[in-house]
Amino acid sequence: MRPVFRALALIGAVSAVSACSTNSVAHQDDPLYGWNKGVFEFNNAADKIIVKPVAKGYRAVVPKPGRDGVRNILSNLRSPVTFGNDVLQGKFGRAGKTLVRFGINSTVGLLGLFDVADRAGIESHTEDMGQTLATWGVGSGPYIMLPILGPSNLRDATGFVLDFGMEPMTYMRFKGRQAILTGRFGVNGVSVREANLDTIESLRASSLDEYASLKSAYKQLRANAIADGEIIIDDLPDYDEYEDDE
Amino acid sequence: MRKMIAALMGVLFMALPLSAAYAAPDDEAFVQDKANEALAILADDSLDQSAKTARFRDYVDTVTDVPRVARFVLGKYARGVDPEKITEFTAVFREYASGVYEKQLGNFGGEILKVKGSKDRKPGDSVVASVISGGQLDKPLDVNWRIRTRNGKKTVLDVQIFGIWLALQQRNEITAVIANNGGKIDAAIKVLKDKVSKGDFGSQSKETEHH
Repeated sequence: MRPVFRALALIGAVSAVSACSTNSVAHQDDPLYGWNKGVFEFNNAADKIIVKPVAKGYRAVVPKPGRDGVRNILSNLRSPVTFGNDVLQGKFGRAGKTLVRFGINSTVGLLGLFDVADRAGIESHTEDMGQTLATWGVGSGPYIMLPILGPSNLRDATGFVLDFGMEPMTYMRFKGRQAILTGRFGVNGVSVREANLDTIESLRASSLDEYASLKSAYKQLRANAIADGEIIIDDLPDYDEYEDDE
Repeated sequence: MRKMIAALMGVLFMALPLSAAYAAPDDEAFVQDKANEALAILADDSLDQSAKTARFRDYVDTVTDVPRVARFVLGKYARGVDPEKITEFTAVFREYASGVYEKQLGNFGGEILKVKGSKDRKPGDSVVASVISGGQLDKPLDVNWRIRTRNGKKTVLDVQIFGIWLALQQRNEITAVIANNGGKIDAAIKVLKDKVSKGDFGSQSKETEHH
């Protein structure tokens, strides 16, 4: 546990420095800015030292078909959570697709190794409790940077915890269960990081303010996910909002 | 409970698929035409990189209203600012935005864009939905366009790709830079100049996965 305490102490120290140097008016939409900036710096350091090198090594050692297979298995294991949230959102057509995909990929797809359903035209999608809460009218709450897990908000972080309730492994009891859960968490993290190596590099290179860039991208991507990729036209900003005249 | 149902209904109705609403047929034709033009420039192997960049920058200038987008990305900081300062910002923003768009679209070549539908936000302000497929793409990619019409002239105000509206993203970054520097636009001008001089517009990514 000691490294964890050390990490939290480091985040706290950086947060304090960030908070001191922060003009509160500049961060009205980010009430936890001090903490968030501290965690952001910590996550960046952890990424640079550990996560990114491991992800690069994984890409170098495992060929693309192997990495695709790992991603497919992890995605298939996620199906019960997506299915539960499809149902909770009343999207029964999508729930049916998730169920059929899980059935096909777990059998013909060799325990999810191959995404056979996708080739049959049944595309994958993901849902989580954060999205479900949003469709029930729950607001996002303040933006929160979580250690290691990255950007979130109060609603999505709550949803992240609640999703464990729909995870079959939560209810299974057998020797080595914790090791499997931890391993799955780690492999998933490396797999996602590897898949986004270029995208994150590109975002970092083009961004004018990395912290603001990540926050903005997270908010936009979550809004897009909640709307299942459809455009909610009323949520778009008004282009003439700050025009002096027209 | 009633409020929850109302909220749910609201979300469902607002998120109706664009394909169901052909609200702006002229805008759809405009997007189809201009997107084909962009894809043709990006796929033109007879042009070397610098010629392609020059062509693409001319194209961005004709298709978008750069001064308007520049004011948009300044957000509340565009108000009451010395016009010369806005001009200076617009000039460097043009360079930066063209560079970013070119990099972001640089992977395309040989793809086909098909308009799916459109929705009017208000008169002269619509969103056109399209999908790009074929070429180097493994899967079809949704691209949405925000189109503004004034006095019969159409311009692209923003483009949504991989779920992110690019000008909105730029606004959030630029206003953060300004806010962190005492509300001074000069800070944003300096950061943009730095990016342009280094040619730091992001990289083209081949292996991209969105979770």
